[in-house]
Amino acid sequence: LLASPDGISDDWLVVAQTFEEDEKTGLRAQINWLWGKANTTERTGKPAQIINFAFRNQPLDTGLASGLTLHGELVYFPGAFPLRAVFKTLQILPSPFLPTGFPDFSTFLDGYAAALGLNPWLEIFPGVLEKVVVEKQETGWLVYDSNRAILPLSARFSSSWELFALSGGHPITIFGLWDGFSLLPMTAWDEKRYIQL
Amino acid sequence: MTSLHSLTQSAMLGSADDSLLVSAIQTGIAELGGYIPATFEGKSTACPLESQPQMPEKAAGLLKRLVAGEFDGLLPEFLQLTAERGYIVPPETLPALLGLGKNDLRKLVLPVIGERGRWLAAHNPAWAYALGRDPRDAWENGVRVERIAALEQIRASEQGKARGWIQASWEQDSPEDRSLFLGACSVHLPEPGRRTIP
Repeated sequence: LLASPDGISDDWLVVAQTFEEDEKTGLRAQINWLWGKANTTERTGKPAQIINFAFRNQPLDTGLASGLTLHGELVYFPGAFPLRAVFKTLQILPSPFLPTGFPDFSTFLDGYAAALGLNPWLEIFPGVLEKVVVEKQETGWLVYDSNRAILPLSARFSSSWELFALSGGHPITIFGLWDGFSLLPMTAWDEKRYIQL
Repeated sequence: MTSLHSLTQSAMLGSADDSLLVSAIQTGIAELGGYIPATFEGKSTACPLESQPQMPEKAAGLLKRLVAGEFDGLLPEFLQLTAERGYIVPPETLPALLGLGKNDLRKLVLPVIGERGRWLAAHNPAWAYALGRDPRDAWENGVRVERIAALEQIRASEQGKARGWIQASWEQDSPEDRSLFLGACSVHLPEPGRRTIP
């Protein structure tokens, strides 16, 4: 894979990092979500997923951490909707950038529908969403965009009050994972400040 | 195109159609991809702009560790120094700070929450103490959490008054309320008075 010539050279922001552990096999996974700085044809940054594995007590790779900005050449694993990738070359940049995301939910959902068309087995669709307002309703938490379209927040999301406080009724930029039913926010930006949720 | 719902119903009835699963998958994917968001009809109240500066990034990092319970006991001093320097805390720490605002800490939390803190407190009855509502009003008209907060607040300054309040409404309160109100009296309990509460 590393020998492939089609790497993508860009500035990348690690927008989220999560961990998973398989109790049965003892395999631990560190999942990094990256967002590219350069604009694609859809005028948003490009997502990428880098997964590092370790067995039981072995240390995980510490090269990536959430909030980190990198410059490097990335190669995607082949796929109908390429998401998982590895770095061919990489260096750390001192200053973070504010990612360009989907301007509203209709472009985000269009992107999801297109991705689903390419890969019907797609479980989650990552996206930076701009100008969303967080609101609380009796039925649960939600975010709405500049067109007042609603996406419900996942019931698994445990930092709703924190996100609500960050928004304060004003539009903010967030990064989250969409599963077709609800959004799981992972990161928010307060002005230029990066906040892991 | 058929809906997932009608397919489920034909599956329930025991259909002999081999293509049922295939059409279910197709329909399921189509429904996922065709998600149409609802429109937000409500009205959001936006928080007014802050007049005080937010604390520096490094201090905010330390605050998060303190709120999480690290270096137990340093939080009051930290909040005091924050207030003296005229800083406010970053918004994402507000839920935790307002939530731990018990008695002595409440006095220290209030000066550092800024406009955002008061805006947030208005959305959660348990944080109503941050709104500066008259405790008497909160006690008489509030919901349970508001009443307890008011009771704790008054208990900290005028113990006798809190006792009077509880006695006045004792007959109307439910047993759960009564026990919670008595629990609130553990605030500011003078040592010799332990046997004579409430």
